[in-house]
Formats: sequence, C-alpha cells, structure tokens
Amino acid sequence: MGRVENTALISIADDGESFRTAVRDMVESFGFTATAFTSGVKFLGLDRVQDSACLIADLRMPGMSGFELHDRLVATGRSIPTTFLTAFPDAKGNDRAAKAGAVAYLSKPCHRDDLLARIRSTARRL
Amino acid sequence: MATETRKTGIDVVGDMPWGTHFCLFYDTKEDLLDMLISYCKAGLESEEFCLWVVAEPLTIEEALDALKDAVPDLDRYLADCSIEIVSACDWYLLGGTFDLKRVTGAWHEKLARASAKGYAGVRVTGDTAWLEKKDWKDFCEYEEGLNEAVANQHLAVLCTYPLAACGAAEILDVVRTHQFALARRHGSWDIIETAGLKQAKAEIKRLNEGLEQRVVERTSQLMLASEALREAQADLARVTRLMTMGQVTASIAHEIFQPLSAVVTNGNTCLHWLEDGSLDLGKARSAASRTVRDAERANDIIRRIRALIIRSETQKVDVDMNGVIRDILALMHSELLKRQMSVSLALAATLPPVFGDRVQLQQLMLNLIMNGIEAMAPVADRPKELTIETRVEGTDHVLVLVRDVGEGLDPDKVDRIFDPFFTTKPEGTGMGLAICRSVIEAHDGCIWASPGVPHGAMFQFTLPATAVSQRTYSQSSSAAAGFADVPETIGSI
Repeated sequence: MGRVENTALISIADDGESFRTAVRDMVESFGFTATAFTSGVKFLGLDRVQDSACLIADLRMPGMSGFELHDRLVATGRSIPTTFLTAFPDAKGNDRAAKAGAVAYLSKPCHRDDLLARIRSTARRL
Repeated sequence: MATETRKTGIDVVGDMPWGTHFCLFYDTKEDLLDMLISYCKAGLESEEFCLWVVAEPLTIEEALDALKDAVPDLDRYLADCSIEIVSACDWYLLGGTFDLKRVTGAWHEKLARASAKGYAGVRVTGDTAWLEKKDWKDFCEYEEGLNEAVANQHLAVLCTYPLAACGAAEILDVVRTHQFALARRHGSWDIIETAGLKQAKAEIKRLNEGLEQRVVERTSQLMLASEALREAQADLARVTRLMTMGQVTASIAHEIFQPLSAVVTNGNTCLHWLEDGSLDLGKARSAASRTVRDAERANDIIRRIRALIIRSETQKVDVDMNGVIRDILALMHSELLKRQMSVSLALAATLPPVFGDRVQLQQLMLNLIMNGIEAMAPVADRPKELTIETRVEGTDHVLVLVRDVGEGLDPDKVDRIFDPFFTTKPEGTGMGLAICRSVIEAHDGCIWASPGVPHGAMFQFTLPATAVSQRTYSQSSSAAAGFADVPETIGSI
C-alpha cells in the first residue's frame, strides 16, 4: 500500500485522547492532512467544516453525540461525508447511521484498510 | 450497704460488716469485760448507738466503772443516750419470761430510734448468764432468727456465753447459730468459724474464681466477636464496593477498551511505517511510543480497579484526596458520558495529604459520586452536572464537597440518610452513605448533607490533614501521578 498524496483535510472528533491521537496518526499515515477535535461542539465552533473533505466522528461524546453533530451539519446545509466510529456497535446504531446517509459505521478499533477504504471512497465522491 | 465495715475493737476480729452476729465464750468476768469494753468503745467512737445487756454476776455498776476507765467521755455519751447499759432481767426477761418476739421487736425499735437520731447504726452485746435450761430451746431459735433479722440492717450483735454454763451440746448450739465464735484458748482469743461459715467462704471463693474465669472467657469471646465484626464490616464494605462497581462494569470496561483501541490503531500505524514502501523510522518510533503510552494507560485503569476490589488490611498512609477523586473519575468517566452527565472539578492546587486508608477513601468518593449520579438520573430539565471541590479548611483540615443537581433531600429524611439500609432508591442497598459515614468516622472526620442551591443535594466532609510532623516525605499518591486518560472536556462542558 503506497502513500496516497492528498492534501484533502480529514477532520476527526473524539473525546478520548488516546484513540483520537491514534486515529489522527493513522489518517496521516495514509498521506492525508488530519485535524482532531475533542468534541463535536469544538469542531463546529472552530468552523473547520468548510475545509473538511470528510469527518470521522465518535458516536458517544459529551455535549453532542456523533449523530447529533451529523444532524446539525445536515440541518445547516453543511453536510460532509461522515464515518462514524463506535465502541458500542449495534444494529440500531447501524440503521441510524445508514438513514443519516453516513459513509460508514465502524466499530473501534477499526482496521487500517477499512478506514482507508472509507476515506478513499469519500474522496471519490468529492 | 453490705460493703460498709465497722471496727469491732477486738483485735482478733478486726473489721466487721453491718449485719454481723457473733458470739463469745468467756471464763472469767475479767475476760468478758476486757472484750466488751473494747467493743463498746469502738462503737461509741464510730457514732453508733450501743446497747449492753449485762447479767449476773456482772452488774451495771461494774460495767460502767470499767467503761469509764477506757472511755474518758463516757458521761457525755451517757447524757445523750449514746449508750445504754441494761440488765438481762429488764431486757430479756421482762415480765419474768423470755419472749422471743418481744425481744426481737425491741431490737428493731432501738434500731429505728437510733437511725432517726442520726446514729450510724446499732451495736449490741448481750450476756446469757441468766439463761436457764427451760429457755434454751427458745433462745436458740431466737439466736437463729437473729441471723436473718440483722441481715441488711445497720446492726451488729455480740452474744456472750459463760463457758461454765455450757455443756458440749450447748456449745454446739451456740456455734451453730452464730456466724462465728470467739473463745479464749491457750491464753489468747481465737476465732472459731462454723463449718457453715467455712463452707460459705469456700463457696464464695469458688464462685469468685468461677466468675473470674467466666469474665476471662467472655472477654475473649467478645474480642473474637468484635474481630469477627470488624472482618464482617470489611467484607460488607468490599461487597458493596463490588456491587457499586458492578453497576458500572460496562463503563469501566470501556475505560480499558479506549486505550486498548488506541494501542491496536497505533500498532497498525507503526507497522505501516516499518514497511518497505513507506519506511519512516522516526514516525514508526513515534507510533510505537504512543502504543506504549496507551498500554500504560490501560494498565493504570486496571490498577485502579484492582485497588478497589482487593481485600486488604486497613493500612494508613498519606493520601492525596485530589488523586483519589481523579482515580475514581477515571473509572466513572464513561458512566457519566453514557448518562449524559458532566463533572465540574474545582480541586485545590495544593492540598495537604490526609492520613488514611486509601481503599476506604476511594470507596468514600466512589459512593458519593455514585450517589450523585443516581440522584441525577431522573432529571430531564437541566444539565446534569456533578460538582466536586476540594479545599483546605481552617488550618489543618481537608474539605471535599460533592454537589449534584438531582431531586434533592427530603427534609423529613435527611437525618437518616447516613443510616445503614436507609435508601430512597428502588434498587439502592442503603449501604452507600452508611459506609461513607463509617469511613469518615474511622478517619476522625465529619460528613454532612445539605440542600444544593437551586437544586439537588450537597455532601461535604472534612478530614484532618496529616500533621506536618507526621508527614512522610515519600511520594504519597502514585495514583495522582498516573492520572491519565480523562478527556480534557470533563471539566469544561
């Protein structure tokens, strides 16, 4: 697997420091530029939405869940391709992610190839 | 009353308790006077009312003369009627015959009068030289009855018998009917104890020894029981700790899962940087070091869980309460998140350590935090925020405050919330706050609850800080140093 040279910005929102940093590093190892946020609220607040080619969001975050973040983006007309990551995968969450039009609903820890494939598919959509 | 002793004035007897009824066998008038003068003198000097019944051949005059020699104040005692010397004819044989009931009644009358006049009690001596064969049986009955009559009264009775008038059978009767007897043998006075008295004394000794043995046994049983109770309390505390943790198992598991997910992810990233096509040792090293760091975080969480589930002896060390709070929050973070609750932390920048048992203090915080979480569960109309503060109180106490915005305290029940098995929650054990109180008491602290403003309840406790003189210089709380994976958002939502 060669490095994909791509300047597209991938945004990550996860409240857990360990995993957030790990995902950011992994995304960077794909050759993308990555920026990480400690919550959905922070992501919206810093207004990196326009710059983000896609969003990788944790589902369970304080203040605003991943789903709520996605809904907010859709409601304000700023929808971006989103991959949800969850430590608590279940069918209900999967359905909700599908209905919301998410790119993917992946369980933590996600496999490197899986995550790369989702980001690439997102990039093609862009 | 039974323990109050009086001087008999008789060397060989020493002190006697009230209720003593004894006898004396004498040979000569001199022997008799010798003893009775001492006996009466001791009574007068002890504020007792004395009654001396004399019988032929001793006369009242002889008794008075002898007494006067020994008691310089005798005239004063006679003037205020502290002593009466009467003849046997007037006392025992009034009306010519011995009437058992009348004589006993007369003793009690004297006793009542003496007691009304403020005397300490009544000391009596009566001679029996007047006694004839025909009255012997009645008199024995009277003597026997006296034992019961004097018991529990401020009354002492010494009966004197002329040896010459007593045959063996009479001596046996006399000895049998008195608590002990005095007789002159080989030139000195001796005490002859009755077999019954000896037996009673032996019995008392035996009972005392038995009692002592039972006290020893009961004491050791009680010590074992209190040891067992302490163990049971420790077990109960541990079980409730496990139950409390059981309620949040999924969340605690997630606390381990989170860094482990990062380990897997970092490991994969590291492998990528080691591949031929993308070899970058610097980035591989960086990913590997994050892997190590995250694995250590997972390890820290497991260490915290272990600290709460181990069965350990109470061990007091310097404990940093800020560290304890962070330890517990590190385990509860996911639970708070799941329940959409946040924590506002205001921990004192510098807090002296408290001298205590770390596991117990962790349980204290675990229980208070769980209590707050459960209190806020039904809340829907306001942000569910738990506030935890620490500060130095006064000069030498640490204060910890836990405030929730839950349903608050029922004023009627607030006094009972720290009682064991008291609960307002359908699934509560009623042990959480009771354990908090017992932990606080074991650490010489105070805990109290008050209404939160505008909502909820506020629990506060103070613990004495370790005095500087007792403070050890070793690092007290590795837990505080190991505090790691609580996201920065926890205090700022």
